[in-house]
Amino acid sequence: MLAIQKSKSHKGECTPNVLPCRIHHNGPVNTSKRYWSPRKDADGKTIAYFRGRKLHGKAMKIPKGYRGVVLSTTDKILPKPQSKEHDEEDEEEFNEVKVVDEEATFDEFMVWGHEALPEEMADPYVRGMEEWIDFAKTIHAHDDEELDVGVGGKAK
Amino acid sequence: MAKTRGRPAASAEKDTTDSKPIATGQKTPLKAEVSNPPQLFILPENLGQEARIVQLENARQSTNSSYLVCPETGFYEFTRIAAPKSTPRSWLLSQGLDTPDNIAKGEEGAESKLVNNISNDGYVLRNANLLVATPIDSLFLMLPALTSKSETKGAEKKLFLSGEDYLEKLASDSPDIRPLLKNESVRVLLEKRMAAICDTVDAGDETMYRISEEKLLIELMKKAERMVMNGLTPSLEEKFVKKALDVPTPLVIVEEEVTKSTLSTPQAETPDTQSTTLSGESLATSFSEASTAATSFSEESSITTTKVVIQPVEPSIEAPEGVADLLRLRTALSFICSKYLSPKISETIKSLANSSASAKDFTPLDNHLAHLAKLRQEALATRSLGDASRKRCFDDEDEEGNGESRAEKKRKKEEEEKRKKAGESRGVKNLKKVNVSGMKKMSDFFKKK
Repeated sequence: MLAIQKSKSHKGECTPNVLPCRIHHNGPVNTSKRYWSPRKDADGKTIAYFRGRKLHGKAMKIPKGYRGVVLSTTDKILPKPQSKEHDEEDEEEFNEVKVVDEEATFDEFMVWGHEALPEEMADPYVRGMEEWIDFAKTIHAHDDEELDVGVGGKAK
Repeated sequence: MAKTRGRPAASAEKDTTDSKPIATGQKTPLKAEVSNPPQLFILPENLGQEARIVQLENARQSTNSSYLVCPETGFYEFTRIAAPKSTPRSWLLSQGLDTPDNIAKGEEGAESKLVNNISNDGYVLRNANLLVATPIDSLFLMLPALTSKSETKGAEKKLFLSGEDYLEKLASDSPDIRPLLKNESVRVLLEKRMAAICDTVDAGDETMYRISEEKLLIELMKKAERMVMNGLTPSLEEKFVKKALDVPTPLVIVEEEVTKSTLSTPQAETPDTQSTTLSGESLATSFSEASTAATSFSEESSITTTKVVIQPVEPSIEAPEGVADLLRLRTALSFICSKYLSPKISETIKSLANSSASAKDFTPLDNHLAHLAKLRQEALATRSLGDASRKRCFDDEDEEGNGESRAEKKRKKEEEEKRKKAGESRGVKNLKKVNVSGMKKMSDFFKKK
């Protein structure tokens, strides 16, 4: 069981980039302008050069009602809620709640394709954003809650 | 373990610098890999303080999966978005300063900023996973508790149990949810959704529940209808609706060629779909509405023309009224079944949906699909027949097939010549070039004089 908390060392906004390659490393790096500087060209396309390769970027906005976060698990344990009346049974079954630190937030991310824009229909990130979130909402809506899409007359 | 190393935060890194000498040097090429990399999530915006990520039993896989539960906003499931193994992807988290917009704005000042940016912290993650939390109807979470796992005890299934008991069962299967069940709103939400798919009996002051497949089907049907109304995702639509209803068009193309050139053989084999070719509308030839071929010319042409207006480029769905929607409905239903129901229940639901008891009548769809299957088979048969007849008919025409065989013949001839030539010596070859006209033949010298 995990609880999400804002980290003390919250970095604020960041921009995640899906690179069309694999980097065998997990960890901090220096992304100086020299090695990573996406820019908009004359036609309004976003391009970047990564190790001499031209990449085309597509910005994916996080849909309304959602936000992007970077989370990392920690070993910290959430202090137990100040218990009012705990019976013995509760005490033994109480799972410890670990803290997950929210390190940064993002409201859009970039999907990069090598020499070409990522394909809309094929790219899992584009599809996940554009299709799945809305679709999931439709699937799991039920009559007990109000829908912002009109479902008039269908409910029995 | 050094807790702070697992985090991308700049200040956290600095905190640890005194204990790790390598981190201080600017020239250090790469900091050591972190053992516990952070992950990227897309979460609902309005999560309360009490929101927790918990392990709950997944109704489909009967294993535990992670869910996000918020007493204020409800239940969420996580969907992992990741690129397939064949397409390598990694995350590069760059600081907000690096967003294209900001860069465009600050292009002039880039030089001065460069100095500051050198120590700018980015973060690389090997696996480009993105976990998206989308709402999940809590009835899918209640299902494992509502359905008994032991198949042998059929009688147990019939028992009515109180909501309390079911929640207790849920908690014993997925202990993570127990603390959350203390929360009134979570309990209420779960019980409400449970009531939607259960037969209920009032026993004194308590309501007793028992799962009802019929009610579950009704609930799922509502969902499926909603999905159809809001439109299936393009990929589902393409794969399961368009493809399934795709009338075998190659048949028509083959026929067209055949009818133009030969008069005798293949027409007899394809009586059904001929009608559209003959209807005179040149556009209509590429669509063969097959079901009611001979009788209703006018109806067909009207269908095709309207569809053409709607989708001028893509091949339109050709099916009798309502069949496409039925198929969408079925696709939606089986999507839910395959994602959220255990195989056992989904079997029951599917057979129930197809039975006469269901609210929707799928028979027109079944008939149409059967018809299409037949058409496809016919198309396959006629295509091969058509090919055969063509070969016989247009032997001298420069058809593709004939051209091919001719090319082959030529190639064979050439090869033969080459082989012959390889046997000759260079001297013989050179002598062949000599003009021998007017020369005496060799045999002349050996004649008796």
